[in-house]
Amino acid sequence: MKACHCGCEVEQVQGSTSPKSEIKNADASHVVLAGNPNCGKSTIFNRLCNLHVRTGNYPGVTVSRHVGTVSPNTQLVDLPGTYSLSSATTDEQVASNELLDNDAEFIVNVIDATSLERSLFLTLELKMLGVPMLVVLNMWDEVRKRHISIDTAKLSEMLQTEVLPVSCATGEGIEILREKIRNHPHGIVEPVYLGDSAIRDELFRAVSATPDLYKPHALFHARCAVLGDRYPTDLDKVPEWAERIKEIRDKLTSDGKTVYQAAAEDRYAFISKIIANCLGTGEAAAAGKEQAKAKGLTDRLDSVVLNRFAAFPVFLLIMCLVYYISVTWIGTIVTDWTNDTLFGDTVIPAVKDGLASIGASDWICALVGDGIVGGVGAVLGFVPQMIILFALLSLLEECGYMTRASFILDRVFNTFGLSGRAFIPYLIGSGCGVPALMTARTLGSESERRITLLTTTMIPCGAKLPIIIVFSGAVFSDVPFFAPLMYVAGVLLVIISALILKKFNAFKQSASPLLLELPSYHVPMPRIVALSVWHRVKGYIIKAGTIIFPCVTALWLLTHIGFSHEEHRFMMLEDDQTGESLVADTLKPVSGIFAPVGFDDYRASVAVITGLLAKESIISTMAVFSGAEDPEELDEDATEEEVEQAENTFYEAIRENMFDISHRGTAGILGALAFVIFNLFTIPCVAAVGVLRKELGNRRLFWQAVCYQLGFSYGAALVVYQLGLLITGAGAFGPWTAVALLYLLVVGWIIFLKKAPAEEEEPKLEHIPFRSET
Amino acid sequence: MLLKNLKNGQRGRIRAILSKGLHCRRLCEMGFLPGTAFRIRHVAPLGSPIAVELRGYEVIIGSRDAELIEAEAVE
Repeated sequence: MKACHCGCEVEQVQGSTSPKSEIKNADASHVVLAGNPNCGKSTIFNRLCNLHVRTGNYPGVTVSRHVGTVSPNTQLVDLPGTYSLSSATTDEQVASNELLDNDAEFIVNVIDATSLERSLFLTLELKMLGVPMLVVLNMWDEVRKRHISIDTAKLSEMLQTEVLPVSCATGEGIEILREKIRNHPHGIVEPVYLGDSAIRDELFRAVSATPDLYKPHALFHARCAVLGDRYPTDLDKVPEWAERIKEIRDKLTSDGKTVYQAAAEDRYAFISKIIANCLGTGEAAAAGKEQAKAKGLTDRLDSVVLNRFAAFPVFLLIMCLVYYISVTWIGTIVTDWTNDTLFGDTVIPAVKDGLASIGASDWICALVGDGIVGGVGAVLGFVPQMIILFALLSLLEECGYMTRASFILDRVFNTFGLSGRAFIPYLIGSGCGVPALMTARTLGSESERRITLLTTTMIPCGAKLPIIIVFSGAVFSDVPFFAPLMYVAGVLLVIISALILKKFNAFKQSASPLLLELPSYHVPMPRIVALSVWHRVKGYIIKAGTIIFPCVTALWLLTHIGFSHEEHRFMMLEDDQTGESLVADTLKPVSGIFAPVGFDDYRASVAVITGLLAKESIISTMAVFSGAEDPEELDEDATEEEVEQAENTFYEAIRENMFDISHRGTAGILGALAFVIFNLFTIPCVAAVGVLRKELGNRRLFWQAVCYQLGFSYGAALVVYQLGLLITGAGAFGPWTAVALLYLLVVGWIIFLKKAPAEEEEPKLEHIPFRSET
Repeated sequence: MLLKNLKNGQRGRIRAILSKGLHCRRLCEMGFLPGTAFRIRHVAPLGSPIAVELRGYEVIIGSRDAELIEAEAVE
């Protein structure tokens, strides 16, 4: 099930729990778009409302609520795509709530006309609500192309509803649809049960026994009661009603079937009648051929993409390509330009000069220029790269490939409690963690979402890449493939974490069983891709901006104010005096906390703290301490020699100052490795932590997540350092070595021996009470 | 035999749904009912999930669901 395919940003709708109070004009009518996933509903929604869309949140659940205006008096709500109105999933509960509790006045049921048979299931359920309805046959252009003939008049007659062909791709019919929505009929219509007449009669007998309070949706409540969905419990107190329901249930289950199977059979029997009457069989032969041709491209592509043997290689190829283009090639070019040229050469000096010219003191210039603008700029510097990454991912999603990728990966991901769709956040995480965490929203079960949220940031993001590169040159130049090794380590740690986490209660709900449609390949619409990219990037900018801004200021101040040893007083410090700042003074005594993992020099601790702000700050902090120039910061016209020399000085400073390698030897190298591991796999930068908090929702869970990430990364660093010392003979068996071994044993025990809590058949859903019940 | 034992490309007809729980309901609503004709379109590497074509559309079902569907092959 797709929630919102473009991963829109979700903000808590202010104030009430009843979305109806958002309507500014009390006379505004409330129209609802309902339909299956993948039927083009959201495209129609966007076309009808243009950009007049607000995205909010359904209270208590993380399903996005999209509301738009078709005209000043008409509000349109885009329901999550659902296959039926049962209470099975959160999406469907949300949809039926919107329809019942918020008094939808008009339903626009969007149907993929190329999959008529399956789509009508929801239609038949919607007919039971007794709300005026319009059936929209979407993808009409496809219907024509494939020579499918649909008798719309007969369809309309059998459904007892008006039917309108529309094409969201070409725009055909959209204006007519808009008119019909604006002038929709008001009031209640008779609910209709389309199916077996005997069952219908029984249901209507229950309807007549329904008290007036619940009369408006009486047929639907009866249906819910029969199927075991939630309905107003008051109705149980009406003996006649309860008896009717019991009779219907007994009748349906009389030959041992479950009640849902019997109900579904009844419905599909009627649908078959509709199909037989309305779907043209006259041109069957021609239609067959045309259909075969139309599906030909999809089939041919799938025979390669989904081939048992070629599937994985093709997948890896595509992912490498995406990564290469967005991160390595174009991405780096664009990011470098933004960071170095735009901000470094133009914006920051301009800001500083501007401030200086109005008489601001030096430290204000530095605070605003280097600190604030520099810090925020570093965050914004990623935006061009993200645009590229998101555009590519959105293209893949829209053309239909992502579903196939989930298909291929599902089995593999099942072994650690996730479903195939979970790979998308991890992929995005290789660029930046903030949008990756937001994408986790589209996953099926709550447990999956949580596991993904906790582990996505362990995949090294773009900001962590400089760390890997610098250390690869400074300390690990003899280790081939150090960089890819770190990514592999990331994947391993993600897997281990997922295996650990799923043994605990908060993550026990099994991954959503894969039940998805495989849409045909089609050329993605640029408009949708653009909208999707815009939503993701906007989310990143707002989140990163609002969180980074105060943090950058605070951190800059803390690293630039201190007790100067020379002048014996508190003052503003220069960039190279960070060693005397407040941060350093605070951390010196406590940097011993990192002694067991091999990097207890206070400079390393300061680097870790600055890394919390933005991971790439670790490098700049180390540069500051080394007294050397960050090789990245050199002038463009520096010769190659000068660059190399700067690098060498920098690298040597790292080796000596922070890890004391010439004295400690292997222990120092292991310490450096532990340092890299800790920083790569611990809690992410402040912006991502902020998003994590939002996405998890639950405060207790959030702090547990933070503790987990800190503990897990510390443990990993501990194991690497202590056991590394032991194995290489650089250190003796000490108390901390014992701790490291114990840690490994505990992790192993959890993964292999601890039993996962029993799986539940029925997912627990929050009971969202009917309005009339509260 | 179970749906998951059918081979790639085979046509079949569903005989029964073997579960009473939530999966059963989901499957029934998606059109997997006794008597429904279907065709196996793709089998993922590692054997699961399976892409099945029925009632005019293509749906992917995981191994857990494929184990709940009893079906017979049809020529």
